[in-house]
Amino acid sequence: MDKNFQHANSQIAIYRLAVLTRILESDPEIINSLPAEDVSAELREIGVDPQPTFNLIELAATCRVRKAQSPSDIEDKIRVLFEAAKEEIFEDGMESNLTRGLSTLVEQDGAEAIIVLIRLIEIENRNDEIAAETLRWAGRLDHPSSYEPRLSLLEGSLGDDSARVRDAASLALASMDDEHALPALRAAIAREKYAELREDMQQILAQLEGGS
Amino acid sequence: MPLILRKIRKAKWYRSEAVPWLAKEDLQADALVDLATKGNRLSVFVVEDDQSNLERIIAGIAANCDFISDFDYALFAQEALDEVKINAEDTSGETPDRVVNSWHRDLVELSAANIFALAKVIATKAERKRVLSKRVLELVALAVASGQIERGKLGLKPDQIAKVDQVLGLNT
Repeated sequence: MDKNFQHANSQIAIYRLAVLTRILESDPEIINSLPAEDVSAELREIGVDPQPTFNLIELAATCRVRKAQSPSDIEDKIRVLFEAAKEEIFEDGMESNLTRGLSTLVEQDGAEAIIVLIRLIEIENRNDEIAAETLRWAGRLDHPSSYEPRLSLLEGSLGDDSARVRDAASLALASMDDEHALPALRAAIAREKYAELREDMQQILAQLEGGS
Repeated sequence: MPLILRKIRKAKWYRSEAVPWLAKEDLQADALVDLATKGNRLSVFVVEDDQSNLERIIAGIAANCDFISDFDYALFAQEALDEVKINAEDTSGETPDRVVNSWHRDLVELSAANIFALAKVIATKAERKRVLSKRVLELVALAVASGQIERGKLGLKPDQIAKVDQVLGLNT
């Protein structure tokens, strides 16, 4: 891995690398076509708001982000996205830099990215809010080739220790609206001790059963 | 007495029964993110006491998002605002439904103490409810079909507008 990448250990550098990963992976030639002084406008065009702004020289000096070829590369990218996401506030119905980044990753690496995500979501010191947001995204993603591993990820997350993550997993299954998830959802309802979450899961069960 | 609606994320309001480290009667700090102010103001909507305009409000708010999602909200009596000495001001909303915008209010001159008090209202006196994304999509489509929302004013991304069209039978 590039030494500049390894050196990027401050939060702002991690954020910038997340941004740079996205822009270079979407168009590797963009370095040659960007204006010399400022790339902020180009970043905004692809839906990223650089904070603070940065210029092409900085971009070229920092970036050697390559297309992921191994699970460890994918894992590195996801970790960068997760780290940057600690500064984000997520809102229902609104895209975030995290979800945009994850979508780009899945477009490039397909189901393999989901498999790495499964491992990272289960690690001990993960951030529950980021894990929950990731699951919600996984449920609404339109990417047929990763459908099965996403479904498995969500079914497995119904048994997570965090109620917030269990809620997100059930919501994501509602988004997929797939009756194949019914056995896992019924089992989750049977073992759910928190009444409010159990009722929310029952609302989803009714939808999957065709009741609403 | 009318009701006040505030969009939230239900899971942030889970209590100690679901969050083992949380003291009884306390709230997760993340709940306050749902009450994040701008200019010491907070956006809410007024719902009729019979909730007859509730689904129209949900459709209006959802139509202004990037994508169709579940809609979690807290609903409490307007008089609870008086009890915690929070003032509301008539301000137009920013949804694509002009009528929904007329039901919008800003809670104004909010202090940190006001926000804590409001959080307590939501935790103890509000109904915290959820509409699943499948139903939200139907509500948005119905609002378009009935002319409450002009299709051209939908804030949704193109792939999401295509889903609305599909419900309306426009692209099948």
